Amino acid sequence: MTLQAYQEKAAVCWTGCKQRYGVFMANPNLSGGQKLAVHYFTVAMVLFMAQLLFGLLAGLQFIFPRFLYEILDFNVNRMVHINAMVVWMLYGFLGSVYWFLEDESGVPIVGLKWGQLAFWVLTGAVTIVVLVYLLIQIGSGTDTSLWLINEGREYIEAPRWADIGIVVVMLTFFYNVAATFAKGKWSGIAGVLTLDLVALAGLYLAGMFYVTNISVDQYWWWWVIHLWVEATWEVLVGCIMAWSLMKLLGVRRKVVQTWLYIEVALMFGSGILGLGHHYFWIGTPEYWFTIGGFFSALEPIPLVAMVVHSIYDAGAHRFKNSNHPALAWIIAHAFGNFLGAGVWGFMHTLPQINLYTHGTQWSASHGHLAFFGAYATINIAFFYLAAQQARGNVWMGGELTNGWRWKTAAVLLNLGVMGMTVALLIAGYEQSFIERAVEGSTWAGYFAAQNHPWFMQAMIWRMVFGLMTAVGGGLLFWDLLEIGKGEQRPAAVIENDAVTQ
Amino acid sequence: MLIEPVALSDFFLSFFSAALIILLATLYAALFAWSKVSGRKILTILAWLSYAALLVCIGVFSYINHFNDYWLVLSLLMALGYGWMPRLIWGLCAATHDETTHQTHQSGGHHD
Amino acid sequence: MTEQVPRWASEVFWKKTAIWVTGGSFVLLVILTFDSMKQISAGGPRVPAHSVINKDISYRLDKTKQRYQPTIGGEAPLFGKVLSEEEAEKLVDHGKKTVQAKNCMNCHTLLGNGAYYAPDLTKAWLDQSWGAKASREELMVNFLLDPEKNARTFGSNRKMPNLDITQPEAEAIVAFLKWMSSIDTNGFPHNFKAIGEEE
Repeated sequence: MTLQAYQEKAAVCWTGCKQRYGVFMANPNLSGGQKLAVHYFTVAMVLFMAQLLFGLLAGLQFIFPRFLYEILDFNVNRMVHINAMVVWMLYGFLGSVYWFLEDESGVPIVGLKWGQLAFWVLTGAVTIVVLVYLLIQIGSGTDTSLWLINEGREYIEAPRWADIGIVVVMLTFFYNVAATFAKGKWSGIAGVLTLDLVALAGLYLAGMFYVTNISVDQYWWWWVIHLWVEATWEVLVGCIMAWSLMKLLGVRRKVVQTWLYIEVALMFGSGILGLGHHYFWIGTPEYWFTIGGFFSALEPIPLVAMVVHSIYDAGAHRFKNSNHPALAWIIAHAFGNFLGAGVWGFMHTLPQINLYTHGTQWSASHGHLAFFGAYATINIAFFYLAAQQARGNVWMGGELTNGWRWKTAAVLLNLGVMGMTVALLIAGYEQSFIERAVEGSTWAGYFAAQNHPWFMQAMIWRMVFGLMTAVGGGLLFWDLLEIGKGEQRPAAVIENDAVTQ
Repeated sequence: MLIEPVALSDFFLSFFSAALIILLATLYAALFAWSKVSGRKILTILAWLSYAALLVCIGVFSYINHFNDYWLVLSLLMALGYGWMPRLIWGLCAATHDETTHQTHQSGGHHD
Repeated sequence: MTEQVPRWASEVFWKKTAIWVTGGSFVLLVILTFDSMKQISAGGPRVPAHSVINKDISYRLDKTKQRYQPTIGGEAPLFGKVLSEEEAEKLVDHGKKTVQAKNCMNCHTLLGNGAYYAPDLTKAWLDQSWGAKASREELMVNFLLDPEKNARTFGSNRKMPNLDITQPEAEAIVAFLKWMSSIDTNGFPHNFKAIGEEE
C-alpha cells in the first residue's frame, strides 16, 4: 500500500472512532459522571492488558534470560508491569466514585468539566510516562533524571513532574467529590470517602522527595505503599462496596453505613500500625518487631468478620441479585482477598520467619494473589455493573447470550492467578530454604537457589498460568465490550429491604 | 534478644501452622455462623472441634516461632481474639440488621 | 428513628469508634516516626555517618544479641582517599541518585525491598564472591562499567545489562554500597559470611 492509502485508511478509522464516541456521549442511560466513569474504566482495562503483557515478558526473562536483553530489560518490563497495575486500579477506583457520586449525592457533579479535563490530562501524562519508560528507560545519576525519566523507587517510579501532575489531578477529583456532596446530600459514605481521599492524596506526598539515606527513603516509601494498599485503598473499596451492596443486594443504608464504620475501625486499627511489618530490616529500631508482629496478627480479623457476615446475609438474602457476573466477581473478591491477604500474608509476616522470606519470591506470591483478590476483582465487578447500566439496565441474570464468555474469563483469570501464586510460593519456599537459611544470603547462595530445579520448574509453571491469566484477561475485555448488546429483557428487580413499604 | 528465628528444620511447620491458624479461624467462624443460621447441633460441635484444632495450631506455631515472654501475649490474643470475634460479629449482625423494625425508606434517596 | 438498636451496635457508636481508632493509631505512628527518624539519621546509632566509608566494615555474629551485626574496624579508605564527612556524603549521595536513575531496584533488592531477578544489594560490599578485599573495589567498578564483559552469572545465564554507567558514577555506587553495608538491619541477612570472615 502506498502512504496515501494508509492515510486514507487512518482517516476513515478516525472518523469512525469519532462517530462512535459521539454515540457514546449521547447515551441516555448514563449521567455525566457515569460517562466520565466509563472513560476511566476503558483506560483501566487497556492498562490491565498492558500489565498482563509486560508481566508475561518479565516472566519469560526468568526462563530465557537472553530474551529482549538490552532492548527491554527485566527492570523495564517489571516496572511497567507493576506501574500499570497501580494505575489501572486507581483508574478503576476513580471511575467507580464518579459512577455513584451523582446517585449518592442526589445532584449533578459540581465542576464536571474540570473532572473531564483532569481525565484527559492524567491519561496524556500516563501515556508520556510509559513511553519514556520504554524508550528512554534510564538516565544519568542526576536530579534531572529523577525529575524527567524515572525515580527508581519501586511502585512509585513515575518521574517527579508526573508526581506533581498526579497530585493536581487528585485535587481536581477531590474537588468534584467534596463539592458535589456539599451541594447535595451528605451521607456517611460521603464522609468516609472524603476523609479517605484526603489521606490518600496526603500520603502520596510522602513519596515525593529525594533523600540520600536509604533507611529514611524506605521508611517514607512504605508510608505510601503500605498505607495506600493496606489502609486507604481498602477503605476506598469499602465505600465503593457499601454503595454497590445497596444497589446490588438492596441492603439498607443504615446497615451498610454502620458496617462501613466497623470496617474502617478494623482496617485502620490493624492497618496503620501494621505498617510495622515493613520496618523489621531496613535499619529501623527493634521495637518495630513487636508492633509489626502484633498488628499483622490482627490484620486477618476483618476478613474473618466478613465470613460471619456473609453467612448471616446469605441466610437473609440468598444472594438474589440482578447482575450475575458482578456477583461472581464479588465472590472471587471474598475468596481472593481472604487467601491472598489473609493466609498468604500471615504465613510469612512475623519477624521470626520473615528474616528468611523477606525479599524472596514469597513476596511475589503474596503480592499476586492479594492485589488480584483485594482490588482487581472488585474493579472488574464494578465494570460489569457499569456495562449493565450503559446498555440500558438490561438483564444480566442467568441464560445470557454468550454467557460462556464471562464465565470462561472468570475461570481462566482466577485459576491463572491462583496457579501463578502457588508456583511462586514453591519458588519462594525453596529460596528461603536454600538461599537464606543454608547459604546465608550470599550472591552464590542467591544463584544456587535460582538455578535449583524447583525454582526453574516453578518459573515455567508460573509462565503457563500467566498465559492462562492473559487469555482470561483478553476474554474479559472482549466480554465487557459485548455483554448486554442486543439484550431486550430488562434487569431483574430485586426485592430489597430498602424499598420495603 | 527480641526474637529467635525459626529453625531451618521447622520452616514447613511454621508456614503450615500459620496458614492453618487463619484457615481454622475462618472455618470456626463459618461453622459457628452456620450453626446459628440453621440451628443444627452438629454444626455447633464441629465449630468447637475446629476451635480446638485452632488452639493446637496456635500452640505449635508459638513453639516453632520460639515465642517467649511478651510474645506469648500474642498467642493468647490470637486464641481469645479468634474465638470471641465471630461471636461479636454475629451479635453485631443480629443487632444491626434487626429485621422486625423495618423503616420506610426510599431507595437511594433517604439519608439517615 | 424508631429502631431499637443497642448502643454498642449503633451507627453513631461505630462512627465514633472509627474516628478514635484511626486518630489514635495515626498519632501513635507519628510519635514512633519521630523516634525512628532520630535513630536512623546518618551518624545516629543505627545508620553510621557517611564517612564510615573510610573504615573497614564487616558483618559478624554478635554473641550477646544472637544475631549478625555490622562491625566498624580500622582505617580502610575507599579508592585510597580519606574523605571528610561532607565529601563522603556527596559521594554516597551521587551513588544513591545513580542507583535510582538506573532503576536498579526493579531487578535487585535493597535492604530486601525491590525485585527478585538479581541478588540483594544490602551486603553487596561484603559479598565473598569479590574474592579478596584488596581487589574488590576495582572489580566492582569494572563490573559496573561493563557488566556484560565482566559478567558474574553464577551459571544462571542472567547478565546485568550495560547501563551506561560512567567512571564517577561507578565509584559513587561502590561508595553507596559500602555505606549501606554498615547499616544495622537487625540481623538481616542472617548467617551471612562476609568477605574476610572465612573460617
